[in-house]
Amino acid sequence: MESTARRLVPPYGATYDGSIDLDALRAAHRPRFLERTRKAVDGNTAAAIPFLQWWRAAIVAGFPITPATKWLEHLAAEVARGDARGKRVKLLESEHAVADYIAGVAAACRGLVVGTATSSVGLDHMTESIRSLGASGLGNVIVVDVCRATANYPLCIEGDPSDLLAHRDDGFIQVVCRGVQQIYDTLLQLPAIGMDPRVLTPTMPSYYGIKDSHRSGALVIEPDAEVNGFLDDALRTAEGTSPLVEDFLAAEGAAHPTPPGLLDGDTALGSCVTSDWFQGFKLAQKQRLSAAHRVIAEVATAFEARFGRPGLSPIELHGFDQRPEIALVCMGPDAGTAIHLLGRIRDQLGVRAGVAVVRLLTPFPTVDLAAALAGVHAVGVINNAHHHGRGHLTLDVEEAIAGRTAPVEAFFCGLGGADVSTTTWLAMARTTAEAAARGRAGRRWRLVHEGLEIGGEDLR
Amino acid sequence: MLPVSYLARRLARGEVIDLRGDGKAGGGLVLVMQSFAAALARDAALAVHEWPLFSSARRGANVRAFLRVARGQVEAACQVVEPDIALLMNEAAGAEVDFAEGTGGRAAIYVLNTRATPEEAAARHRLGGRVATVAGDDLGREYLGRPLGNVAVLAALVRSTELVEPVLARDALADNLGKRRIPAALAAANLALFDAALERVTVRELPESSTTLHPRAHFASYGALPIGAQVALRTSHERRTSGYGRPGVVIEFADPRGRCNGCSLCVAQCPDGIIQFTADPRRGAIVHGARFDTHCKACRECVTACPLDLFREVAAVTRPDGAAGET
Repeated sequence: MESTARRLVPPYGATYDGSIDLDALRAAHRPRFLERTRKAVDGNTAAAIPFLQWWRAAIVAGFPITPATKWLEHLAAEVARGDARGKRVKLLESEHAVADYIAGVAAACRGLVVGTATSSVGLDHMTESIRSLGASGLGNVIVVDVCRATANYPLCIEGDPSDLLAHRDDGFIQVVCRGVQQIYDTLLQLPAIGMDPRVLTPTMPSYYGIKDSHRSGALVIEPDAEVNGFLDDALRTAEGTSPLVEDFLAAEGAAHPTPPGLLDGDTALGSCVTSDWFQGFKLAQKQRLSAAHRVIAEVATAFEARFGRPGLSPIELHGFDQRPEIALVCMGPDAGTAIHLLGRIRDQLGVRAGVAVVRLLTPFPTVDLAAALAGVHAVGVINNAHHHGRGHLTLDVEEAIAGRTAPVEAFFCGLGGADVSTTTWLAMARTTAEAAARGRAGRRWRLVHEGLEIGGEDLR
Repeated sequence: MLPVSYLARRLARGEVIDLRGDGKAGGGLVLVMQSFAAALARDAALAVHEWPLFSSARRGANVRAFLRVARGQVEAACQVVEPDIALLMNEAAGAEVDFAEGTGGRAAIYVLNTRATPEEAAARHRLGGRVATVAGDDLGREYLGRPLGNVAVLAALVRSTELVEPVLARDALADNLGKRRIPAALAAANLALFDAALERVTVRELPESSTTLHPRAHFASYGALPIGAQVALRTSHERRTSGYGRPGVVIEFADPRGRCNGCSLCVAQCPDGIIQFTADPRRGAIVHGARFDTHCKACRECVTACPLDLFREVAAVTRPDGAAGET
C-alpha cells in the first residue's frame, strides 16, 4: 500500500488511486455476453450474471447459505470453467469474514464493484461489518440478500423478508425485486446509484428465497459492452457532483460546524471518533441516503433510455390509472398474484383496487407513496414478516399518509414463505373494501391464510 | 376428448396454463420442470415461471414443483392448486398425496411414470381426460443403470401436452444436464433415453365422470401445534433436530409383538410431530408407526428415546419406486 497514491478528496476521503490498475482490469475483461441473449434462469443466477459482466467486479466473496447458495455456485462454476477469466471467487470460512473481506477490497479501490450474496442468519452474522459498511461511504459494495426467515424458531429455509427488515437501519439502500428480469435490471443499476458521489452508500438488492431465488423464468441479458458502458457513463456523469450534504449545509446557512462526512476508505474498517464527530458522520450518512431518491430517478431514466425497459422505480403501481377506491400495499413476489387478480377483485367485490408494490424499502419512498394513495378510501398493507405490532410496512405506510382519513388495515400473510393464495388476496381486498365503507379499520392486525383470518388483535 | 394441441389454443386465447408435479426428493423432478420451462421459454412470446416447493426435505421425502405459462406475462406467483397438467413422477409419492387434487372440473392432462397402462393408471388414481404413462424407471435402468424416470417423464410431458417441439425439449434437457456438469457420457445416455421414451409414451383420452373429480382440500386451521417443540429441541439427545435430513439412512419402526408401552417419549421428542399413535385411555399413546417417508430427517430422537428399542436406524437405498428404503 506504500506505493499507492493516497489522494484526499474532501469529503469523499482517500481513493487509493493506483492500488489496482483499473485500466488494465478493464482491458483484461473477457465479455461473457456479446449480444442481447434470452435465457431461462432462476433468480440467483439472474443476480449472479452482472458480476460476470462488470469489468469492475474482479472479486466476489461468499459463504454458502440456503437459499442464496446458487448465486455463489454459479459464479464459481463459471470461473472454474474458464468462462470468466481473470475473476476470483473467494470462499471464506464464515459470513462475518465475507463482510470484512468485501469491506477491505471495496475500501482499497473505490473503482471496483464488490459483492456477495447471503441470507437470513448469514446476514445476521455479517452484522458488525455490515453496519460499519452502511456508514462507510463505500457505495461500491453490494450485499445481495436472498430473503429468508431469520433468527426465529422453528428453522425455516423459505422466503420471508424478516432478515431484510431486521437490517433496515444498517445504512444500506435496500431494494426489493420480484422475477428474474427485475432482479437482473436492478443489479445493473445499483452501483450507478451507490457509487454516485452524492450517495456513496452501499446497496442491498433483495428477493424472496425459494419463491424467487429458485423460480426460473426467461431473462433478457444485455451484452457486456452495454452493461459496462451504462455504469461507466453513469459514474462519469456523476463525477464531481456536489454531495448533497454540502447543499444541505449551505441551505442551513452553514450554522453547524462542517461535519466530517467520510474520513476515507478506512472508515469501514473501524476508525474511531469522539462523540461530537460521530453525530456529524451520522448526519452525513442520513443525507447521503436521502440523496438516493434523486439519484435513483436519474439512473432509472438513463437505464430506460439505454435498454428500453423501465428503470428502478421506488414503487410499482398497478391499477392506479383506474382511480382505485382501495389500495393494497405490498412487496415481493406475491404482489404478482394481487396484480393478476385486479380484474377479479373488481368483478367479484365490486370495488376498484390498485396494487402498490414497494421496491425501494430503504430509504422508504414516503412522498411517492403518499401521492399514489392520495385518492383511495382505504389501504390494506400486506406484511410478510413477524412484527410486534401492525407490521414493518404498515408503520411506513401510516407515516406516509399521516393526517389522511383513509383507514389502514394491517395484514400478515406468507410468513416463513407460506403461499399467499388467490383466496387470501381476495379476503384481504374484501376486508379493505369493508374498511373503506366503514371509514375505519376493523382490527389492529389480522393473520390471513388460505382466505381465512386465523389470527388477529382487536382495536383497543 | 381433448382436441390435439388444445393447450396451445388456450395459450393463444390468452389463458394461463398451470402444471404441478409430485415426486420424491432426489428423483429429478426439478430437472424435468426446468427443462420443460426452458423449452417453452425458447418461444419469445411466452412467459414461463417454474419453481419448486422447497424445504429441508431429505432424499425420499415428497417434493412438489410448479410451472405456469402464458402469452405475454405471468404475474400470479401463488402455488398451483388447480392444475391443467398434473404430473406424478413417482408412484410412492402418489400413495401419500393426491397428485390430481384440484383437477376434474375441467379438461386436464395427467402424466405418470408407471409401468401401468393409461387405463390402469386412470382406474388407480380416478383419472379422466388425457392420461399419458411411461415406464420411466425401466428406461432409466436400461439406459442409465438406475431406476431414474425423470427424463422419460419429460418426454411424456412433451408428447402429451404438445406445447413444445421434442427437439427443443431435447436441447433444453442437454443445456440443463450441462449446467449440472453431468459427465458427457452420462449426458449422452440421458439424451438417448429421452429419444427412446418419446416412442414409448402411451397417451389415451379417457372418459370423465363424477368419480374423476378431485376437489381441492381446503385449509381449516393449524390446529393445536406442539408447544413443546422448543422443549424437545432443548432436551435433544442427538442434537440433530434442527439440522437438515441426513442422507444415507432411514428410521424404521417395528413392533410386531405389540410391546409399545404408551410412554409417548418418542411423540414428545420428535421435532417434526410425525409419530403416529392411537390414544389409549389406559395405556397412553400406543405408537404404530411414523410418516418417515415424508418428513423424517433421521435425527434419531425416537431411537434414543424409546425404552423398548422399537425404532432403529438402517442404511437407505433408493427403491425401484424411488422412495427411500432399507438395504
